[in-house]
Amino acid sequence: MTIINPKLCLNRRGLLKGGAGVLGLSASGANLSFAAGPEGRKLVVIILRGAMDGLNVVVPYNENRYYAKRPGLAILPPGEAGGAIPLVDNFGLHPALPGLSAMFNKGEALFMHAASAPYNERSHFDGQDVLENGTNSSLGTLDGWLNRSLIALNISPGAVGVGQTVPLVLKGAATTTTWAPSELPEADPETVEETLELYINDPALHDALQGAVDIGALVGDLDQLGDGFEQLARAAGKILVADGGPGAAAISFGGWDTHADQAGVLAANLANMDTALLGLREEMGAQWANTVVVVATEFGRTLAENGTDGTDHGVGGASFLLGGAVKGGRMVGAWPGLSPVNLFEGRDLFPANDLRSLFKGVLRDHWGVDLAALNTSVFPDSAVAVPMDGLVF
Amino acid sequence: MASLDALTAAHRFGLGARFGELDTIAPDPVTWLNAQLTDVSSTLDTFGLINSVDGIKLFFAFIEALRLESGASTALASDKKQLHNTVSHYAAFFQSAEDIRRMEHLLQFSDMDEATVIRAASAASQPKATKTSNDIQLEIINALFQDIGVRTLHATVTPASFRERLVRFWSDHFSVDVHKGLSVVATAGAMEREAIRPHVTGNFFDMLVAVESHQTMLVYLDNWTSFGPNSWVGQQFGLGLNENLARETLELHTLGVGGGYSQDDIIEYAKAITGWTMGNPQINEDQLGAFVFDPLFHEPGTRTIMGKTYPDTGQNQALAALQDFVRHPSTANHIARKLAFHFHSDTPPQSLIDQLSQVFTDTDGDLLQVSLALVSAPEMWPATGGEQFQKLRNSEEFILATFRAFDLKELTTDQIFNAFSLIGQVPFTADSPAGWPDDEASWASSTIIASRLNLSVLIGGFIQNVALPPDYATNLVGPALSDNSLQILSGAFTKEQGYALMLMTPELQRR
Repeated sequence: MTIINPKLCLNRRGLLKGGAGVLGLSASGANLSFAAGPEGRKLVVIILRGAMDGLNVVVPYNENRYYAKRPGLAILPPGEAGGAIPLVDNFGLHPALPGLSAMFNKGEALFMHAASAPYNERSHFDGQDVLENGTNSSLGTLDGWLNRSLIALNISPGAVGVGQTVPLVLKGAATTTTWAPSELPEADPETVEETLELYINDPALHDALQGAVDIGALVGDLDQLGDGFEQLARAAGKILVADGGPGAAAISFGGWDTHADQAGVLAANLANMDTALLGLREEMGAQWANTVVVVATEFGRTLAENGTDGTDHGVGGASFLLGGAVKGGRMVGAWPGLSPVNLFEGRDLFPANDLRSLFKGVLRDHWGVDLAALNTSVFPDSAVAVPMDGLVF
Repeated sequence: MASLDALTAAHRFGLGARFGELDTIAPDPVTWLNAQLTDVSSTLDTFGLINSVDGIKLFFAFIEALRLESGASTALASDKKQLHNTVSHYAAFFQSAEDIRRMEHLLQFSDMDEATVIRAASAASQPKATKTSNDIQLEIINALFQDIGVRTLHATVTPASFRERLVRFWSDHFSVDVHKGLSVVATAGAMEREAIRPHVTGNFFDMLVAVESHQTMLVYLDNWTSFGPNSWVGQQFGLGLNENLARETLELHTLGVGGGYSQDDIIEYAKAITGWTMGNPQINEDQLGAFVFDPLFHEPGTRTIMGKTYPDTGQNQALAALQDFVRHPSTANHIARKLAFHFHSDTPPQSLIDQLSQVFTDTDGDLLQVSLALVSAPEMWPATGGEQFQKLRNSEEFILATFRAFDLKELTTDQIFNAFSLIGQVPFTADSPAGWPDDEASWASSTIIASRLNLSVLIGGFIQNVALPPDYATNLVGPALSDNSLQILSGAFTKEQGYALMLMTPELQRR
């Protein structure tokens, strides 16, 4: 009876990205209805999965031990061929990040080094959980701090998870929406319309599919958005600035786990990120002035390079804030240095700065989230992590 | 015309009707279901799949190959010859555990082209003089793909689809996530085959013990490296407890949230279950990859858990506690509620929960009796108040209903894997020990429903030589097909579109 055509190709990379389907491009009007964020202020949280090597991204070029411990991998000081782009305080930026450097020079970006969530072991699985669930344990909660911050506001500004999976930081009871570029050829407009007709008596399925059509219309033609990280970042920008668009977006991006052949892998990934962040800035347009982007990773990497031209899991990492609402052009937090006595367990950059303080400073001053809520519901038992002052305008 | 009861049996209890199946069920739906509980002849063909001991051995071989290749440390094989006393044996064990934590990251599904990996994995599993760590890694990943392929094709063709639903329910109750690391990749499928399947209509206590002592769970929730602070190892190396397994045993596997235990009870039970680990190349190579109880890990002394004291009987201390957890009324209620939520709706009637809970308690957790009680519950059947199609299928169930509907038994392993991947529910990848969500809000998202539609269009385009869409749909959901759905399927522009729309009807999205 049934014959399945042997050519049925469910191959992720083998699928033809055919003509623009209605879920990617639609003539129908968008119909989002989020509250847009307190006073229209937008927040984007970007999780870099795999532990970005903070020491080769925000380069401490004045530290001799940085060069001693990374003879093959260290980024040279500014002025040398392939050297770091100068920032301030004897720190430089990886040369693959010219866009981020330009934002820094405009006062739209700041960096925090030696940063860590309250987790000092080295498992990606647990580290990402702690970073995103906002507690001090990988098992602390099954929802994320961004979602709980939506609940802490009187009127939730809503949020969109951009990508194939919703990051834990956005999961929880507050209503959010999702968008992901389809890896399948998209249904033609007539079939979508007929499917919506199937759901005239099933509001849950109708709303879900209508939501996909609406958000697809906002995002527009995927071919115009670049690939990979850039595509996600630009899509997030388009969704955030739409009429009735949500107040927050969460994106995650992997590929940072550079145990081997780090130099090329990291440079390529950073170049992708730079393009993505510039794309996000462009899509936000005038609203960039009201925007804060938080970029964080679960931990850092070892000071010393390993035997396979890479680095292994470390504790202290680097985190960034960017956006027109950020008081940028500077480094924030303490720098513990790289002398042996100051390293964590003798091998990693010491986690001198609690990421929760950074996150709480943003949530309090950008969105007006109540301090009591920040200390209890958003980041449970976190009074010890005092919000950083003066991060945003 | 098949009866509404046949529809209930096939869709609410089972994994969706195959073409013509409703007619088979119609004469006696209850007997059709109950026979699946007592007749276990529809078994999985496990040919070519690896068991958990071999899976863990592969994993240790991977670690060993990696050590040799990195040159960063001496290979364990030569270390071992120089080990003379127990202390250094254990020190080597901790080094190996650290290596495992360091190396676990090497699996990154998101960066892989699955078809390439599968092809490479098949090549890698061929006999070779010396396998590289990459060869072994691919072999391990291939083992997972094979397991997913076999369980999916079995679910596609089995006439005992209620039994397969139960397998998935219990497998999800004891959820593991392969992203934890390669050791879980190597054994996740094996855990379902070894610890879940044999007990689906057996005793809950037996399933619980099989799971908590299974290598996969011991690694996934870290108990294999949890040490009593006053154990020999704890004292010698200053090591301590990891509470993960204990917490989830109480919170997810038995009593449930708010089930009457405190943080102190979790810690006490965590101490009781120290020593439940597995044979590793350093300490007990003769039991490599198998469950072992290591008394040198075990916290000495009597434990007090929820007011009851448990003398130090070694391995049996945790067993005694588990037995009491199973008999606690919170466990019966927790299990009953989950079953009702899964098989009935997001708002199951309290009477159904109470009945299932009572049977669980009365039979000391006999899952055959509990499953029979589910079948005999009037709340589950349309004529007695059990309105159907309230529950949205999760994405795996949607794919299985689709595969069953069109008899897609010729799919290759990578086609199967990619179908799950494309709609976001690859088996053994739920990102929480609580398993996949089981509520409508989680599955009725824009992204998920859009991806189901896109997948339906893709599959619909390849269906040939079968009845026209309205007739096909009538065969699958018979008397429940709404006039609206029938009208839209009848008006489809093409047969291909009609099959896609059929898969997207509320009657096939729901169960």
